[in-house]
Amino acid sequence: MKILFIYPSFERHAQSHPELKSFVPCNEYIGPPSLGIASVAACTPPEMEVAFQDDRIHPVKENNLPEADLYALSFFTPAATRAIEIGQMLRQTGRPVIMGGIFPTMMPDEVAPHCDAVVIGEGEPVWPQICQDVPRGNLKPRYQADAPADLAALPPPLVNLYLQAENDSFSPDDYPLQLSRGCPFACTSCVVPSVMGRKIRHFPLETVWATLTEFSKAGKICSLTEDTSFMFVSGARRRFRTFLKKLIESGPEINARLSYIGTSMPLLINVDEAILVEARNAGIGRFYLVCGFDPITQEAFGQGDRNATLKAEECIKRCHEFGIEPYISILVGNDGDDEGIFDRVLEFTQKTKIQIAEFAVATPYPGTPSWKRLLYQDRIIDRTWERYNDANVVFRPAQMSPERLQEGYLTLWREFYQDKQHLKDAEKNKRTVQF
Amino acid sequence: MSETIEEQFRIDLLDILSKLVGLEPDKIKNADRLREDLGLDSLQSMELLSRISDKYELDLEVEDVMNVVTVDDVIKQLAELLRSGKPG
Ligand code: SF4
Repeated sequence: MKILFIYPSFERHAQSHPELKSFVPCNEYIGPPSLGIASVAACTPPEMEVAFQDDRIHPVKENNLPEADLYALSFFTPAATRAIEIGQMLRQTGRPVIMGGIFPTMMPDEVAPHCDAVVIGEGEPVWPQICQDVPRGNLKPRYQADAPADLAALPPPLVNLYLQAENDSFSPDDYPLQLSRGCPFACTSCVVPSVMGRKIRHFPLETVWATLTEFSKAGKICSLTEDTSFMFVSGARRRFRTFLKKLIESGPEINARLSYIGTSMPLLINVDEAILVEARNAGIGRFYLVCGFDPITQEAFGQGDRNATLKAEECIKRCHEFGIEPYISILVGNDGDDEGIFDRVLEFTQKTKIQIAEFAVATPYPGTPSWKRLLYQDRIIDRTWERYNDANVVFRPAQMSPERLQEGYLTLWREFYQDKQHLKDAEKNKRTVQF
Repeated sequence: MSETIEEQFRIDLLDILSKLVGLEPDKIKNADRLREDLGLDSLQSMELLSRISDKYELDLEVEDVMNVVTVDDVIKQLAELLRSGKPG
């Protein structure tokens, strides 16, 4: 039996707003697929054949449908429109189509009419059962594990599936490396607790190391996207430090390279200096600093609160002091944001000498607390899922019009990069922005 | 034995507090409230818990520290976790 995993395409910022290409002097970079497919694929019984198609690079075409005995699509909200379209095309083949990932988990009823089975929650625990049910013609409409996946029991993700799919036009520099799943907090714009649960579960160091080794062999850099590494909860910080220690000691043997760690100002502001030193010594050159989710940046940028602004400045200073570049990602359009946010953000980035940044429109992704709240308040104005990509306004903001928010987002990109045109000539990795 | 552990927690907590918010260890009392008396904001309290649980290899959860108000509460909570065999 041949299983084809498909990663449906979605619009990036520069596709939603082509004018960005003229403002931003950086590589318009197509990032790697999420690890979801590789992780589920690794749980496939060995007698079955697995293949992968990245729809962003090799679009699924109605007049040339790929051949397989089972199609499995994994996607998040921005890709849902395209995934539904692909599902409709593939069902013409008469072969079963399965949908899973963040969007199907949060909106199973929305995808169910376009596939044969929906996987709700993590795919790994139910995947072996699906692989048994398909050949027996016994596929159920829904699969949902009784408990979160035991990460210690999972094989490392099948990253070769992705590496083998690379070609001259698509070869991402970096791939994500997952240390854990889940988060006990409930930030309004984040889907992690709903999808992955409110308890942090850790991958064994061996699994993380095996994945890192595979990527390193292929010359890839790895990034740590989850922002739970510095937290005290569930021993996350201690495990992270063990990982850093191993990176420092044994990373060079496998030629391991790490690009960035995702984090946020509340986690960074007081973090023990020793960790920052260890991160730098482990070769981590960047923090992917997400702003607009947390109280410090919401108060600093949204309302111009002086104390919060000082704290935010202090955070950037810490990054610079420890030689770890802050790459900031700023979300605008929260309910606390007034129209002054755009000027405040630009003033802040100038004052703190931020060199590289990306800007996002607050987006109520299904499954987040903000989705539930805005739905309840009847403020969702657009349910076109492909427009849920951080680049479009899909809800009525509290303190400005949707048009003003959209225009402000574009102004941020334009004005931030106005005096940074020299980045055009910088090394590739210094001018890479996913936009 | 337990007294020794609690005393050790206290010494380490005071050391962390002095580094985190510049307080003199001999000015800190067990009954001091982290926020009201020692002036820690919620982020600093989290960092305090991160550093101490990191040092003792304890897996604290959010629920474990929800009701922690004073220095003494932190010490007791950590000691209880250690006794209940919940270290990570
Ligand atoms: S943004 Fe980070 S801290 Fe907040 S809920 Fe999501 S993973 Fe947790």
